[in-house]
Amino acid sequence: MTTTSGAAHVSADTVLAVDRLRLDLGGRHPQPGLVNDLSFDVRAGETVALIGESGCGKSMTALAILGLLPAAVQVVGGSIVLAGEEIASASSKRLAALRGAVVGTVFQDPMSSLDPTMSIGRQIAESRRLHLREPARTAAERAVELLDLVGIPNPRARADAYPFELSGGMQQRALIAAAVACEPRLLIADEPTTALDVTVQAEILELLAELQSRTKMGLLLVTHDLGVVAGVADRVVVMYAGEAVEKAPTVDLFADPSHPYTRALLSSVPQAGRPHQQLPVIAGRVPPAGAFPQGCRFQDRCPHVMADLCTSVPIESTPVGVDHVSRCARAASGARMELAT
Amino acid sequence: MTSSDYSFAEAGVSDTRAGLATAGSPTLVADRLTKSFASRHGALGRTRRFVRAVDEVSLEVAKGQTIGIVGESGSGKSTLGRLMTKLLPIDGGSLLYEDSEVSQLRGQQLRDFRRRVQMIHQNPYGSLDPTKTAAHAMTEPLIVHGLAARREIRSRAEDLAERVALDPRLVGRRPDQLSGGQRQRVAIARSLSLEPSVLVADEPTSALDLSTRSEILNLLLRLQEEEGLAIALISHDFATVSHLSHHIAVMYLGRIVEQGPASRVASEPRHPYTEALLSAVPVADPVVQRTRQRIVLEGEIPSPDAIPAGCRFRLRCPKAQPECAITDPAMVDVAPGHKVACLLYPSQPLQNSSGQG
Repeated sequence: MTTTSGAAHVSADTVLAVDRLRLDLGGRHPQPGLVNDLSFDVRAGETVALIGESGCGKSMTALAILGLLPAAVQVVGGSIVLAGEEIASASSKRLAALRGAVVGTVFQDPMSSLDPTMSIGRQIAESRRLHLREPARTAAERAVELLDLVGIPNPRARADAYPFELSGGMQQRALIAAAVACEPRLLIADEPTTALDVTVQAEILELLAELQSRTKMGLLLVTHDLGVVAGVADRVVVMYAGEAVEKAPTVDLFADPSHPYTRALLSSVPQAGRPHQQLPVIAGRVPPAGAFPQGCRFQDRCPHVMADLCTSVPIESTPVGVDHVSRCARAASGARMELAT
Repeated sequence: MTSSDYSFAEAGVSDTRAGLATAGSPTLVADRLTKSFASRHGALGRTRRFVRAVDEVSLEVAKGQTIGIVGESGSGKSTLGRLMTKLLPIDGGSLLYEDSEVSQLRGQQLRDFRRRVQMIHQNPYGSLDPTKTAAHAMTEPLIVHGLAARREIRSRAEDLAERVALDPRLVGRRPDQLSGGQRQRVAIARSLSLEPSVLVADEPTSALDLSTRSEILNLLLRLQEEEGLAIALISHDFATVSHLSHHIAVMYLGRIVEQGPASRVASEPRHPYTEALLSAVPVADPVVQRTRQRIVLEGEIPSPDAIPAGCRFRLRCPKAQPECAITDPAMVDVAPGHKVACLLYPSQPLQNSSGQG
């Protein structure tokens, strides 16, 4: 049931399988390989975290899965199979039907996702009327149940409230209610708690876990908060410059990170026992798309870079443990990595 | 924490002034600082009511030290930052800068205060003029205060860039041509241009990536070590606050409810609100994070115009007692320099029983 290969493992309970996905930006300033050789899957009831710095391709990947890529960005290779259906080549009409019904989304800022001119009850009901062709009255009733389910007090009265009348935490709950209204197989949550206070963040994460155990939906969580990842993710995909550099079960990733980028990311978190100490930093910055170096994309910032091995040919993912792969030439060659940090 | 801690104090203890035992001498001292805002109610907003966003807050910012101010949104921490930098006038209490009452400062003295007490904002993209170069942004305060001539802009900007570890070749760029971390460096360089002694940093790293965040934290640590800056760090990110701070003040609904040495507040929180807040901060260790028990708070932070009588935290407090509805708890010492506003802790004149740990 586990796989050590880099390719997506498709089984009956796989709700999302991304396999060797490659995205190119066309136009006057083409950026080939914006996302490159990206493979991962999300199984029913599972939470997979997508982590990495801004510009690593996390959000572009999420948009590709939703079929919402900007016009200039094209899927030039690989496949995205959502609930058994190939969507990389699906029509925009079909994609629109899948969004909301099979895949739900929750974004960072609830105010920009909710329609400010429509009551939250209507927004939730609309999704069920559209996708499930439910009569207005039943849908409205179901919207109240959903608001109750996501922990909004006095849901019948609150269904008539407009988004601005709710607090940030309540808005995010309403948005989650809308996202899960049609019981999607997959929920994509892009920084769902970044704008929230820690106490509210904890409640929202608990709510998502509860919904998951009820409906067995898969959750793809895009975040840069390693504490959140440690708490809720079953598996982690670490992205760097458009590529997955490491994939592992969460506990293994934190206990035994293999890729130098993952190690650097983990060590940049302040440790409780060592206040006022300088934190390890990753020198340099993510190369802009279109200016990726030959070979490993992390080579310019890597303390372990080796000439030729890292700088000539693209690096393939290599198994380094059970269900654990690393896109590092040293891991592939078996060379020992002396660790400074 | 043991059950023996949960005994109730006699009510009506006089509010003590927050005199933190700081190593450095206090540069900025806030004493019972209060700020109210008018909120409009009723038809056409004709009824005006005043809500206290900051309510009798006392704290000190000392040379070479960082005080972290934590709390949820609506706690009043950002308003407090604006009061401490005189971006907002205070309504009550006093603010002393190097022993002078800030509200009394006029003319050159006021200009000196404006020079020496600087603020860093969360979003450098919002606080920098998109049409002006980094060099302009960094040196504008010098021009305004008549401390540099226009022909010096370039060289002064390059010096400032060196101080914040920004590539001096980037000073000719505009904000949109810089990364988030570079923009925050420009904003910090701008604050440093007037040689401040106090920096009030409101969420300086919240908009930044993880790796960029550690660069900016390192920069603040280095600047403090080299220049003895007094820093007030306002943040909801407890990991950042406990990494940088020597003292931590926890705010809830306009009040400080707990205050003390950072190591004590972080490892032995005494106020039920601090305990709950800390239990909700995720730890970047799956083994630890998955076995932690979070203290669940009832409801949400109340609106500042509906502050409950008695203890303002009692409606959400898992340890609330009938007494809490009657008495508004005063700050009491629970250990040297560690104060809590909670009726669970008996008030004892701790100074007299010296050496108690």
